[in-house]
Amino acid sequence: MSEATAKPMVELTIDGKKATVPDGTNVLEAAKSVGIRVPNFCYHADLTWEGSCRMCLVSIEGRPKLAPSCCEPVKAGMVVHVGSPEAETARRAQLEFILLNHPLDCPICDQAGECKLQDYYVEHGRYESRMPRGLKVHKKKVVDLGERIVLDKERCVLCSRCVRFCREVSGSHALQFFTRGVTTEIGTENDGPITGDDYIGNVVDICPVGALTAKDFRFRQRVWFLKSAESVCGHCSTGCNIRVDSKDGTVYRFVPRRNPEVNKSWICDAGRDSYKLLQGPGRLAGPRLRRAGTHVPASWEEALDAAQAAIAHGKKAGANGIAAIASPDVSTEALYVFRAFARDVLGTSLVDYRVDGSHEKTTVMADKILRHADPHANNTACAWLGLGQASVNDILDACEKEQVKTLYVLRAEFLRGHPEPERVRRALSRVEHVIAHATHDIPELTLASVVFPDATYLEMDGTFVNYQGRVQRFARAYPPVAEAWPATGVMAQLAKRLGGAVPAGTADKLFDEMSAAEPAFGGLRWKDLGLLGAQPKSAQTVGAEER
Amino acid sequence: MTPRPSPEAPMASVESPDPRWKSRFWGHTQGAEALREKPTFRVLEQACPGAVTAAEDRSGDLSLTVRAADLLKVARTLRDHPDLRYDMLLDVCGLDRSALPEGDGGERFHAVYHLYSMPRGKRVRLHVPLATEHPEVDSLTSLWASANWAEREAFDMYGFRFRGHPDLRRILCHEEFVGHPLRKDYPPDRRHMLSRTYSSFPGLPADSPEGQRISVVEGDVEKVYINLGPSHPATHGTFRIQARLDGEVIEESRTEVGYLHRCFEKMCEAHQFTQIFPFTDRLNYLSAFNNNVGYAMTVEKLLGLELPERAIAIRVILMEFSRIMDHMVTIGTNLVDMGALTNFWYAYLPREEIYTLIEACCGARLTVSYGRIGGVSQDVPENFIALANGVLERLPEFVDYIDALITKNMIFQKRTRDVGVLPRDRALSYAWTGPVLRATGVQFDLRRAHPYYGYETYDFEIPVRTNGDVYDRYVIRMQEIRESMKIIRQAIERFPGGAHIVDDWTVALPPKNEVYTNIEALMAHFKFVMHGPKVPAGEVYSYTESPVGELGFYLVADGGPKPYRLHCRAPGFYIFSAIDENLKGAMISDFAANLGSLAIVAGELDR
Repeated sequence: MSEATAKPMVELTIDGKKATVPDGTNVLEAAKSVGIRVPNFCYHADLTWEGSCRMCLVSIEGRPKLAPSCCEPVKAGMVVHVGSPEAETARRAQLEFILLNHPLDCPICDQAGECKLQDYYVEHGRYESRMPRGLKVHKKKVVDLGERIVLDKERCVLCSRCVRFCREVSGSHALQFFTRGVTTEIGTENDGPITGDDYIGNVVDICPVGALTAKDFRFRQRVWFLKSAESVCGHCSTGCNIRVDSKDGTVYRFVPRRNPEVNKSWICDAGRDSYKLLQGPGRLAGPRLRRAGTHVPASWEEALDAAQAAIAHGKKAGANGIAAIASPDVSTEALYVFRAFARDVLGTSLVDYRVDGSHEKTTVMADKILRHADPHANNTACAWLGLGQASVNDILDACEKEQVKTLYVLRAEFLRGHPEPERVRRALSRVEHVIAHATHDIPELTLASVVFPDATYLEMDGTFVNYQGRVQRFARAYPPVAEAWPATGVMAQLAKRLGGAVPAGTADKLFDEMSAAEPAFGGLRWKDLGLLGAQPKSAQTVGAEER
Repeated sequence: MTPRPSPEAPMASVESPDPRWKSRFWGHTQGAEALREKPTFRVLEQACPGAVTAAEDRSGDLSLTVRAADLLKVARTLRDHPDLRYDMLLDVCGLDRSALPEGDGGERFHAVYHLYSMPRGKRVRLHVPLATEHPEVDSLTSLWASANWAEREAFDMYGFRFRGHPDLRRILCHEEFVGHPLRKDYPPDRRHMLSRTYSSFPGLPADSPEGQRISVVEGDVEKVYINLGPSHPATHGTFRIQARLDGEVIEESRTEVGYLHRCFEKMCEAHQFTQIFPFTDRLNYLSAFNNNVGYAMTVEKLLGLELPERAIAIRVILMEFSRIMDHMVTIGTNLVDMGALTNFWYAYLPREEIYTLIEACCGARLTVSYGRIGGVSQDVPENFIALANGVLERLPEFVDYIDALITKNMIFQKRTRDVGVLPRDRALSYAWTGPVLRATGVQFDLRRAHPYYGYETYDFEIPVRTNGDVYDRYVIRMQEIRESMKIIRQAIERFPGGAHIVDDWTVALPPKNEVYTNIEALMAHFKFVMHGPKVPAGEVYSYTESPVGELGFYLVADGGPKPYRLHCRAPGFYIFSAIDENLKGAMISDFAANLGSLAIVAGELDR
């Protein structure tokens, strides 16, 4: 946005409304800025202008012909009519033209429900079909394009969004146009599988119709049954904005959400698939306790009792009787509560989050497009909150020497990232009590005496701070599964039992409290974060120190 | 439903949103000058200055916003002023505006009143904003008897407190129910465990122990309490009356309704406009099609939709047939309750024939769901006219049988004459409509008073009688059956061709043969089923003459695919609210005769 404001502003009139937009904007975006939506298939805000679908034709005063608004840069004093009769007629004719050879697939098409053809027909069309049945040109259906994509050539409206994406964004040049005229179609060379493109999933999202569909979403759910939540991908430190589509507590897909400052309109395929890991097999259903060498399911009451006793035991052993490790996978609010919990309730300074060295790679790119080498969402927040008080290796040493009696781990899965897994196992087995929050069952959990089932970030509200220092909100897509309970609630409960107090409340309340107390957050308010997140003014400098 | 900002950040400065948006919904600008000329507004400005804060014309309805503190004064002026004479309080309901896409910053709750002036034939709607934290307003029970149950319903559904109400407790929901179901923050799928039945008379047990009776002794008289229902043959549905008897005379009775309550209105808020038809079938299920039409008309009024001639004719014919069926069942069951079984079969046989006719049209008999926004779901069969004529030919025979057996029958007259009399002014005060009101001497029928579907062009009589007793109600229904047959004959004569539903795919499904053969219709079909019809934001009250009385629907739409609020003004609810007054001093044996003559259908009563 800083780039945009630097450009001179241009004023024009669209359907009688005054719009003021930066020079270089096209008429279509200018219309959108005053709430007028111009139908379009081929235009995409993060791809080059193409002008192939002709659905966005508008009248511009002083021009003899209609102009495609997506390819028309604004000029000062321009007078545009989106709703003029000529433009309406032209768009309707164009829609009829596009639909001439379109198959009658809605009942079996995954796109039905979020299909631009359907939307525009209802909004702009309503003409009688003039195409006799039997004359339609048929093309290949169900073309398997490798691991992720299935192509239906008949449904394609030849907008070329996917072709441009492969050329301009992913650089794979995988999809191309073939042949000419009415038989024009998109495809790969000899309809072979697409390989070596880690972003190819995006072509499904940008396809305005049902030509490109995702293999892992096809036929699994009708889109109008899905509930959407605005979230942030937690698969690396980029923090791509996503929409989580779920139904009855099952996620069916991650779809990128446009954020020009972070991910534009894209996410990588690994991030897109990460919902499978978050739900996957092995989700912990309820608390567990170690009894007589084996793990048994327990009630929350029993688990909290056991944790309370273990913490009291560790406290008796003196200043370094307890250590605490947090994971940069949890929300900023959980980290904030954790810090207070470690300091005021556990009374320890043996606190760290730098287990796998990822904190040094937060701003290191893993490819040329979006991905970062740091596989955690929230290392920046850990640094801002100053959670690196001791070193993890010192903590592990203290465990091995049996100085630490009780180890409190927020997200035990994270410990597996340590470069020396044997050392971690050894340390854990020497500690008398390990209290672990975890979302999934892992072998190391057998060494814990109390296991709390944690909620994933899909199951709660909160924020992540990405590699830029941008604070981004994620919204709860569905309630925690089974007996899972967000760690903020568990720590508040434990603090109460141990006669201490930690910040408690909903995510917005915790965030505002934290932001007021922590200069790194620059006084941001929860409501200021909006859907696209915000960067504290100081973020650049604070982030730079860390980097 | 907070507006979700576009994830694609606007790239340029945005001008302030169109101010007309607000006025389209709650604004006070449309035709304000013309409204000021209306006598209602003029009189109120003089009599209660400052009380009316806004006057609007919403789809032709006059709607006044009244300060809560002035409601009683305004209502009294409306009722008593010689220029206004709004003698009927037709309906009271609540409205929770908290989930509207964009409010005007006013109070969360509105109490909404619908008034009707019988002498002037005018309607007015009052919006009374109530304080969000403690929604409270003066009760209108001192002015109209109909306010009693209506305000109890608003209290039950929204938690509104009505100051001065004699008996403000839940009416449709159970005593143990927690919360107010029609508030927007009440989840539609919440369930309650309800443990037991309560007595209508405080301090008495709800059920009499086996072999014992509940009674009190006053002096040397033993007053016995009896309980009728909820499952009693004469209730024809489920409701309960507890009565204190002095000998065979009902000294006092208390009525409990709500046993069939399913919160029809909450269900409507959770479904698309098109999905509501099956719910309306189950209101007055004796004439389901009339409910279909009543609801469809409401949405059509908001849309400003013109119906095809043929759709109107189909509606008129089937509505009148349904009226005949409804009256037949009412008469038949009423007579059965008095021991006259034969007539029951004379009444039910033609009903079967009519059901077969309706089945030929839409495939269903009882819960027809034949109505659609903009017409009916499918065209009538080719032989429809022949079928209808066949039914019409055989009908009079059965009506004549009943007439011959009953109308001048001495036993019947002894059982019904001067029984269950409610005088004219009380009937109006209770907002009675339909045949029971016409039996008290008020010649009021919406088909004549506010004609719709060309009823003004049909030649038919509005029967009226003056005694207001069970006998008159019976006679009126018998006469109305014959009048309905007259209307059907005329409608058949001029039965037009053309479409059975409007050709607008944003409110009605495209024809199936098109859906299966071209992509355009297929897409329209999909969009319609998935995202519902396009109904503009607005507020409307629409009414039809159902067999029971004025069936009204009050609809608030927010521009989405579902009704924001749909309230059903069930005629039976208001008729039945007079039952306790009607039974007072009556013989216990008259109870069944009286009850049956009021045409009580619990599906509509409890909604």
